[in-house]
Amino acid sequence: MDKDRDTALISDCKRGDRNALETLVRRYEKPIYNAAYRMLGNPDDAADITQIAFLKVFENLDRYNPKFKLFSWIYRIAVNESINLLKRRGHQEPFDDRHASSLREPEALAEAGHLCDCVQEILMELQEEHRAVIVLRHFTECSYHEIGEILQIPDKTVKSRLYTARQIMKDKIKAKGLVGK
Amino acid sequence: MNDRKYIELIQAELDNELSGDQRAELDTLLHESAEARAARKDFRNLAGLLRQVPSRQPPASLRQNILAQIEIAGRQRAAPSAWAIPAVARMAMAFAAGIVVTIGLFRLAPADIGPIDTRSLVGAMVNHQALPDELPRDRLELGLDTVQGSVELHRNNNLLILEFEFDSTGPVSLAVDFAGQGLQFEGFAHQSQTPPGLRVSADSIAIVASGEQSFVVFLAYTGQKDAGLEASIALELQTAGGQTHRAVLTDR
Repeated sequence: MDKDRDTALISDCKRGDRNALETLVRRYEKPIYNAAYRMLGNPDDAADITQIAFLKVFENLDRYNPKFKLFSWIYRIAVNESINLLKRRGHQEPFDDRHASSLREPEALAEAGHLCDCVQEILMELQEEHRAVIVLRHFTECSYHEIGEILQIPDKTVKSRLYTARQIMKDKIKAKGLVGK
Repeated sequence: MNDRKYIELIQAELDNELSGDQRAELDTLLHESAEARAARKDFRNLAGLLRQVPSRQPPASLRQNILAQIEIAGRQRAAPSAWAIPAVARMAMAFAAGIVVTIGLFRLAPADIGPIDTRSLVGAMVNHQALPDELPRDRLELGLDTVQGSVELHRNNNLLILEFEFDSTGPVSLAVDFAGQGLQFEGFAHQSQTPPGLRVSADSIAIVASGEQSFVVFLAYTGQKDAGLEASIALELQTAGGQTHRAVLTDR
């Protein structure tokens, strides 16, 4: 993700260049949607949050600080909006586990879709702060520093949350028979 | 070396955050400690599993929805006080404020009560003849996962009033289609903290709204309404997830 290119895009967007806007949306739509989906476990909610994130970026273009990376800013909005949505609902949406009965079968695990369902189910069992660091590290490949910037926590806290989240996931994955049988 | 130290080094290796010195330190540690090797294997298994999870494709309509929303928001920013509404519509909006207050009052009042006590009221005074029907001509309940509320169609002489009240967990696109019904757009008024985006054409209106919303759309019959004519207004509601719901409200 090229910071200079992003800065140029932002400048063009501010001038009302629709192509620049479209390029920006095309560049970040999928990663933001995926991050929101991993946070929320629901495709419709993920699409809603993606829209909200881009709209907020657009509405606050004038306040964008080029010192920070654009993607950090968009992710921060998307993750915060996801957490807000979960809090507003006051409970976790039950993950659709229609295929859960076959998850322990090795042949079923070969199917990426089932693996995806199983991992998502485990993610949804994590606390939001732990889920966020896993999503940002493993699904968007952010560095400790970038995660810290997005979540506005020190790098040390990022490492400690990652460790806790991984320990929990490791145990749950073993319990589901995904690895380490 | 304590557990915490080797865990930190293993994590740093996994996350590509290991410095040269730490690399050497970790290699020594792994050579000496079976426990460290087992922990490293566990963490690597987890990372490998997460790498196998494919990324999801966003809905095909998502990008266009985002761009449409931004475009509407941009127009509002550019011209916050002039939404390309004709003078007559602006007058209708002023009129709307009174009507919105009055609808509320009529609903609160029992049907057979005498004159309304206006001593404590604050707001626009509206001629009784200008009030809409007390009961809606048609009504639609919105009971979706992401959108809860109602749409009511009221009538006042030649004016049709569509009253939207809903709460949505994300952006909602609404299309109000009155093509071929002998109607024209007359105005729009809202009481929402976040104003909805509005795009008006000759025979339809596109609205993008999010969160708690309360707004009114005014349509007027262009000619003398035939006694037998029942104008139908088609509503299409689309959530950001791409789910589409359609309904028709009729001026019965």
